[in-house]
Amino acid sequence: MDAIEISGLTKSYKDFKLDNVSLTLPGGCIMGLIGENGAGKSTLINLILGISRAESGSVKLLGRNAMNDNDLKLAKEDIGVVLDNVGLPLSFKAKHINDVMDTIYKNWDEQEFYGYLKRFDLPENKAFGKLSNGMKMKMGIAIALSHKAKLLILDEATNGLDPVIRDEITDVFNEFTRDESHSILISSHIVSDLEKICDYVAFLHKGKLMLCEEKDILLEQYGILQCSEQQLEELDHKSVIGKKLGRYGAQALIKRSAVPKGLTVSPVTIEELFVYMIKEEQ
Amino acid sequence: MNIFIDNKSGAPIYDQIYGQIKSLIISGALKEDEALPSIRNLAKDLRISVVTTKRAYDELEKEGFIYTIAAKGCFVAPKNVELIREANLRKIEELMGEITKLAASCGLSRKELIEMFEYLSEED
Amino acid sequence: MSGLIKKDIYEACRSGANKLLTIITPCIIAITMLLGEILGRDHSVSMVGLFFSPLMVGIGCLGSTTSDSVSRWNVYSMTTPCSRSDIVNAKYIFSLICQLYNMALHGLILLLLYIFDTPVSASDLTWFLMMTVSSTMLLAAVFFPINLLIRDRTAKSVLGALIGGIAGSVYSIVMTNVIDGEIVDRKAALIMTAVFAVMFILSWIISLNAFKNRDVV
Repeated sequence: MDAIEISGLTKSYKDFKLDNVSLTLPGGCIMGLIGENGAGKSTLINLILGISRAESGSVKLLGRNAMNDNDLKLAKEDIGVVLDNVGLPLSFKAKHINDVMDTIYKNWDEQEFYGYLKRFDLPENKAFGKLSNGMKMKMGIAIALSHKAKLLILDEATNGLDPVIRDEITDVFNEFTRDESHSILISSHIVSDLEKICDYVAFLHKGKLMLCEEKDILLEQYGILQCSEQQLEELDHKSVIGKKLGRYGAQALIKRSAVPKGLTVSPVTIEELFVYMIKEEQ
Repeated sequence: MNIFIDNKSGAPIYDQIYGQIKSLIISGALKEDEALPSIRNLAKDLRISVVTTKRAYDELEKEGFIYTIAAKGCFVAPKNVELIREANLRKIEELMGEITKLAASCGLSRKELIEMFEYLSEED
Repeated sequence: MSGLIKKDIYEACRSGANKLLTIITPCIIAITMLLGEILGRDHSVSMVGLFFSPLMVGIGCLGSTTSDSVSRWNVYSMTTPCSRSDIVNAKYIFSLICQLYNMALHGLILLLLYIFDTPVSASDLTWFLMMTVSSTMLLAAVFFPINLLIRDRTAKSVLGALIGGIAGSVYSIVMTNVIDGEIVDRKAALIMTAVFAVMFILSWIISLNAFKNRDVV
């Protein structure tokens, strides 16, 4: 069963439009949603969760129709969400959070929650409002992981965290998907976090979905070629996705298949791929 | 079983895994009918995509190095001497191809090439 | 939905302002009564306390909606398995729970009055209670839809000020109807109570319907 099925999702604002986005997150996979600031990642996630209402299109979450309020409510029992802002009452301590979440979620697991608090080094007796941004985020993640969720939706959830913590959290997400019924949709503009563990990558730019593909295929199809400007001119222009011309030569993102033998193509990172593609669009 | 992934080498990761497991099987480090880690667990342990490990295993199965039992997992196929020989023959062909190209690039004739080979073989 | 109500209750209990209120109100009344006794005045001054408490409780109840915006709980709660109707219902039910709390406070005040042998009849107090509780209903009835349905901060403040003005005038009307601790026009009080209750219910229905299609972000 697909974890998320989105079809033709559209929403218009004054100076921005999320335009006819369709994508599918197969069950058991991790998808990285990559886009620059303002690309529409948060809008997309808000539409998926029903926080904003879409103009048109449909969404299915864990097989349930997310456009129907009752089905959406049932689906959310199995979905752990961490947005860029964890909106818990500022006066709450761990035990109040635990108590309230226990009432809200059918499958709340108190032991798991306190286990994560310990693992993330979160103080049990400090009011939520007094925690640092990084700690607030970790608390949000701890909550998302403590009610037997099958799908995690994370919107810029690792932004406020330092590299050490980000690494630990990436480990946690990796572990979460050891179970083949667990999936993750994670959006970020910090691509490096996602690169290694993602199975699929989706590029969002100015409200449009540029591509949605298996990460491996992307990394294999494309590479960075460093050569002289003349050599670059000789190649099939359709295979050159983007180029940077410099004083000492040219650097281009290119389809590997178009590179003749003898020229070396170095591996490209998802981040580079994205940046080149965006620049070409503009 | 040790598997090392080099992110910077440019070789596709699934290919690196495929190659390393294949070598382990051929060398005998992985015994016949030994169970391999599940596609999923291998991916999570190496912190890479499940799609990647699945591809590596698919290649290995296609080449006859491993077999799958539904709901149980993947296992090392019996060491098929023919298979290994075939694999090695293919490698020799590949290398020969490269030798030919290099020879051409420095103007070595076929006769000179064969002479070189005979000279080197005699040394052994 | 009960989780949402629980959260509002916990938050209200943990709010320093609310804790202060619970202590202050009876204290103010007790002090004014003591002063009255000492200075040989009557106890009509302490009647202020009777209005003070429901006003504060009413404002404290509405304060939960303000803190929801500040803490961004209004967005976070939408990631939990609570439907939009749950969210609306929880707020209105919470305000009713606040009314109950109000009544408990009033019970305490009654006790104080009884101790100080104030010549205020129980039926008067019941009327006071009905009116003041229902005027909290008025506040909730007008305030909740505004908070749920309007995102613009300026619009919210303007409307909030308007409501403050309305509430203030309502209270002064009530006050002018009080002479020596007796509500003069009981009929008016009864009508006002009924009107406010109806407004409350209407507001609930309107909020339920209008919130269905709002963008929270």
